Amino acid sequence: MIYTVFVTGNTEQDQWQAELLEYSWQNVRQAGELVRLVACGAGQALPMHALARVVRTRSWSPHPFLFDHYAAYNTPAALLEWILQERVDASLLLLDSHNVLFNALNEEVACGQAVGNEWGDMPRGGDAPFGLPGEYQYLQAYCVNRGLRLPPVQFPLLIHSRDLKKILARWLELTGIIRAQFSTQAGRPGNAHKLAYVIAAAEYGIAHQPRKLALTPGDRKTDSAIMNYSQPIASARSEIIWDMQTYQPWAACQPKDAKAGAGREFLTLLQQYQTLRASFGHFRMRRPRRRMGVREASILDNMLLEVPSRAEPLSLNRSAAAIWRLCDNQRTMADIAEALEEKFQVPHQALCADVELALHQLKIDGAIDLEISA
Amino acid sequence: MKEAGSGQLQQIAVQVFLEGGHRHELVLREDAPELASLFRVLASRGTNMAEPAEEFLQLPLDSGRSACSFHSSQLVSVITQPPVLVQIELPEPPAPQPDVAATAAFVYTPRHVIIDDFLGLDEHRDMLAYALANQHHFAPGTVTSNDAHYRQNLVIMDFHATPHSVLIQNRLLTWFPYITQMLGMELFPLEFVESQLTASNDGHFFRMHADGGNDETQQRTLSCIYYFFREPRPFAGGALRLYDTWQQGEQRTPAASWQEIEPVSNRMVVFPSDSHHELMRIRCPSRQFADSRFAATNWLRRAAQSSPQATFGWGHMHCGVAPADFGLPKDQPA
Repeated sequence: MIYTVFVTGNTEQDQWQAELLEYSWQNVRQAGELVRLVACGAGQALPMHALARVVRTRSWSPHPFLFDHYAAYNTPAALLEWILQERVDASLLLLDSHNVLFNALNEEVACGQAVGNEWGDMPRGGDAPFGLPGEYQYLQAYCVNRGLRLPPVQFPLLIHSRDLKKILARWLELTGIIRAQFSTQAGRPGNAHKLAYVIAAAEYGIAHQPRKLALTPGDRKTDSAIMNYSQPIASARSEIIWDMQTYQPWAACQPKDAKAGAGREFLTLLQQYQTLRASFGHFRMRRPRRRMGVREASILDNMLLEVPSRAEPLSLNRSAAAIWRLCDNQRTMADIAEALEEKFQVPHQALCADVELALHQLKIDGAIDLEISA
Repeated sequence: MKEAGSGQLQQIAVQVFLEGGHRHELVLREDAPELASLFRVLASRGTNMAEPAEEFLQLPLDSGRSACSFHSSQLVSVITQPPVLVQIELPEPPAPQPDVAATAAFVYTPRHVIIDDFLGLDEHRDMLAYALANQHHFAPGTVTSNDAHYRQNLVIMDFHATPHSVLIQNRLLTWFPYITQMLGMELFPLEFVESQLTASNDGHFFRMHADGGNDETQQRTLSCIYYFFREPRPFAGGALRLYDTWQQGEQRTPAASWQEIEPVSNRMVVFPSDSHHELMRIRCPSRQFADSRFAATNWLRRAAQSSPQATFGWGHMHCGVAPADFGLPKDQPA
């Protein structure tokens, strides 16, 4: 079993990135389960996905005891909460939200055999603990063995959950220690979480093999499994033609203008998904399948579903009941929308959004699965 | 039960209607027990009494040549000719019971959290080195009654003043929100983290006790024991026995059932400080101090009032206040 896991907040940018990652995960037929950990408050509605399982975790930004706003606390914090809650015991492919899959990476790892993406510009070459530059001298007070060799790795990572569980609290703690050395928010290092990870891994004896797991837009080859699109994508004339920071979902993009390589490959994927989304094409690929053991009953005009995973029966309104009746394990989302549009004589694609919302809710409630039709 | 307007016993023509639209006709004497049963079943419905036990009824049909059998719950109505006056004395509803919930006793198992691989490899080794280097600082442990039959082990009482204690404390405070979540508690503001270091060798024990028993210790809320020792384990026994609790009203006493948690080196065990527990007797054949079972016991003491300026651990953590919006996510109960 391999889980592909990524941690996000609950913003509009988080959502388009998560959808794109989900699409790429589906496209390459990555094995196992896709899990999106959403660090957000209890009052916020969780985002919905057709394929990814969405898990709410507490937000550690701001840090509860340091009062420091730093979204990267959420990565170790959410992973620790998830592993403890679900007692996960499996290989994990840990991605950043600004990653997509170009190829499946179905490589399960045993304990002690973690693999990390190469961190080429990891700070080093000084007399501070772990051979870090002098600005990290303060770590001497917080680390017992300052002579450890740090593995030059970063996200994405392939690691067994038992190894990750060992280091998560120390990773979280060290991130706070590094950030707390600076009195102003502006002065606090933005890579504190990356450095904290490698120190924690070294301290707990979790060996990592560095490997080129993720491409960047400038890479000419596209043979790695993962693409990191956090850097701008340039044209052949080195003009920036696409930038994650300024991108508005789902604005059109021009892959042919990009320099050949990973950047162009990424924009092609983005364009494919935009086209699919605009034509509700993703509707044709997703087929709701009733879960085993779900029983239905009608009382007067109300339809109730008895779902094995729920203590209380699920009460469907009339629209949801009409959609549920059409879930026959054969129809796709698009078939269901078209059947209802015909029945109620409304324009084509007028009900797509409502059908999608209702089916996602039925999935969250445990009544259906959404599988990919051929 | 008397026929209306007559003092003589008569034959009563009875029509019995059952669930499903079934109807049976029969003739019964006015004093027939079957007739009384039919009316008793009907009369007992709709009262505030507890649902009466279901009866099995049997009525003679066709002058006794056949019989109709059914459960009392299937009876819908009865028509009699002539009409019958019903005067049935129903049993008195039971008198209201005192609120037994407040006084009922029940047993519960205290929740606990186990964190293995609590410290890094060298941190763990360094704890052991610290304990061995400070052998001369260990003194016999005592209890408030000074009863030597109650506790026998060695202790450094002011361990919390040392960097090694702070090392544990800072890691523990990082775990603190997860520990409270796993124990089903809200995060609470801390007043102080108290810490002792104990060494338990051959014949040592600490009989059953709770950690928050008097005025001085009542703010201890969570007991957090970090185990470390040489490996392979040079002693036997030394398990933490965590007793189930009998609760009756506000009174809590240890039950006769328990669970035992093995001491594993580099393991942290956390449980509520008001839970009764016991250090089981240790057998250490070498009797060497270095072969002791070492434990750093930390108590997270709840603050009566929030103190945002108080710092903990290495001095960065402001745990004197529990963030209000950092509770359990609503859709993930502990």
